[in-house]
Amino acid sequence: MRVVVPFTAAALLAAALALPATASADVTIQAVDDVINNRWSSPEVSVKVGEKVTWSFAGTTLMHNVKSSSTNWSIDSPFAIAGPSVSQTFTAAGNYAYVCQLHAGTMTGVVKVTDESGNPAPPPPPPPLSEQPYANDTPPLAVYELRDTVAPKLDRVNVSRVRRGVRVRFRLSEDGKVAVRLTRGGRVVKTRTVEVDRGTGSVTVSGLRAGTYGVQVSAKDLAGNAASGSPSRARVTVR
Amino acid sequence: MRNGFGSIALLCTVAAPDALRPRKATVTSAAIRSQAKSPFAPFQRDLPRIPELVPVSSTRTRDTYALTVREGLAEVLPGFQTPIYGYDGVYPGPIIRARKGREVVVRQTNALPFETNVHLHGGYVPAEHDGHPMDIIPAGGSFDYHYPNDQDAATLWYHDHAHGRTSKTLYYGLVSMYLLEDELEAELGLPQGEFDVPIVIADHAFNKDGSFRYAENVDIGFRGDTILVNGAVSPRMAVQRRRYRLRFLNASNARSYALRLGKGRPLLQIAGDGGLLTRPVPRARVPLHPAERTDFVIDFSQYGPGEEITLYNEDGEGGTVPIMRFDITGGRVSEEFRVPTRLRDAEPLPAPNARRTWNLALGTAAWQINGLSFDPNRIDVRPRRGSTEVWTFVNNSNRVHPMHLHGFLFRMMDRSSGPVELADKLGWKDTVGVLPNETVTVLAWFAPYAGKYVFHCHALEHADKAMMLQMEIV
Repeated sequence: MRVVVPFTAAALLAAALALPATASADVTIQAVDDVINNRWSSPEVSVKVGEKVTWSFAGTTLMHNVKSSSTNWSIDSPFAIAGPSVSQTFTAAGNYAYVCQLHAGTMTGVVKVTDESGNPAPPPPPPPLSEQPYANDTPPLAVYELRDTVAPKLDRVNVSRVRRGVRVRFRLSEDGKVAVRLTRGGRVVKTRTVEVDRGTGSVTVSGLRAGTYGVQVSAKDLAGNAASGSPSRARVTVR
Repeated sequence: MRNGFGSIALLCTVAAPDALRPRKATVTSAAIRSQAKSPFAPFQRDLPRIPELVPVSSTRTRDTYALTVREGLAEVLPGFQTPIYGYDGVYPGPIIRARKGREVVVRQTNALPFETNVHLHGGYVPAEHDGHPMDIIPAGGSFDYHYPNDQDAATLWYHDHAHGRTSKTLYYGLVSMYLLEDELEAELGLPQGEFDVPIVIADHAFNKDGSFRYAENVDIGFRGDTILVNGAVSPRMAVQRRRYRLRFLNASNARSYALRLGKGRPLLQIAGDGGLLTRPVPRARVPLHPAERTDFVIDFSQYGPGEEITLYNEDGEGGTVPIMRFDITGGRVSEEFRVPTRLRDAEPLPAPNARRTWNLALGTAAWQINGLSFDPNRIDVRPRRGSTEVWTFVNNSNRVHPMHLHGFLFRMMDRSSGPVELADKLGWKDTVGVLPNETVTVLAWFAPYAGKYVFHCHALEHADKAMMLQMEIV
């Protein structure tokens, strides 16, 4: 019996039903064009030793070929649209993989060749480590940014009068920036921002006229998080 | 006077980045393997810095270098030795830093058992030194490549270009950078030294013994499941709170990337294939096709110590998503530098001399250009030296074709898929990714050298299967 697996899907199904995988016959495998899923009509066929398998490209409108993809055999047909059929008679039991090189994602297949009495070939020895894929099993990336959301702590703020100026002492829990703002009569008269290291520090604002000033001290860390709590306020009279 | 005001106790501090944690000393490969999580876990290794090549001799006008193209071993996965081909046996190969106006001579000795040659990608190079696919160095031979360096500062790279073999030799490691500098660029005060970081991205796959796994796919080209950056799996880089210049090269066989930083934080692009743009362009998503380069300046001073920012590939999946992570370290920093708003003026070009169309398609036998495959005995086009021509690439396929001109640069004119990216309009390019079913028009300038060059698709499985034509500049 010579079986040709025909082109349409319905006939393909019928043929699949009519032809159990163990059927003893020469087999034709048809290349099937499909806009999204080029494929072989039967990606897995079983034949016995001595039987012939034919790859048919009749009626295709895209370019295809067939090439062996396991190392135990060799077949390599030219790229062509509706090219000539190619055949192979298998003389030893085993699994023979093949592929269309232009559609390697979907057009893969294997011919399982059993011995005369239908027993499958013994499993081949595992390939050496240098031929076994070591797949990257990385889980999907979950974190694209790890931002510092911890607010620094500003405490021990002490505002004192110096000659024609104001000195602010403070403690900051992280490296950051401390801003000192002086107001007088409801108007901002001076601001000063300094980068400071973690720990205690001081800022002196000088060149002030005599009078009473409101002093507001705020801080941010280097990531831009403002110190928790409301800015520290004080009043100081400069003489 | 003491001010009493409330303070809220802090419960925790920022976790120290992995880079700061002490690591156990290890001796054997097995110990390294057993300690590592998965060898593919991202951000486990520090970004390797690519070594810089030192000239063997220098004169007033010329630096001479010597490289041997040979087999080597690289520790790509922790505890494994991966066989590679490498310039001086390292992957990525050593960087050559050149200066405009100073000639560079590279004596390449081929210690591989097969032919090789070297193409300086993006360089203005006389035809006989360009690495034409037919100009090869036989096994055991050597050749002195002369690079005049008459062009403006640019991030160039060099790789093997022997015909039919490039996809494998690039994959197995024959790639490195060639950084050309000039005075105009130096005057801009861009980050230098350790703050100027060349970064080579390539996708790879592995076998269980740690060797590179290569499966030829002439349709889409090779696709790996792992991103190597300077030869390490998605590494991390400790950065100070300041500006860095990062020079990215896509040295993948055929994979295109879409670079994205953190939650779309701006990447300030300052240069492309052909050097500095006329002005910097902030970008959130940067497509990077095979062989393309983009230079960014990233300002890490806007981040706080301990913060971690990931650069990732928006078009990837699984292991091809994370590219690298920047771990911000250090505290205060004072940096005067700001990126200038004008970087370089665009040169005036002569009016185009000719218009040509190149149809990119899967032909009757393989990938082809205008129905033709590469034939070294045929000249496909003869542009005039010093002229400009409008070249239109029409992609009639469902694959990306990064089209590359040897020896010459072009300016982007038009894309059928939408407006040309501003950054692509503001600088020279030597490679353009022509997207599926897209038409791209460029203005190519055929100067300064005459002679035989090629232009081809830089999806290397396509180029090796002869998606390449020959041009002779007359």
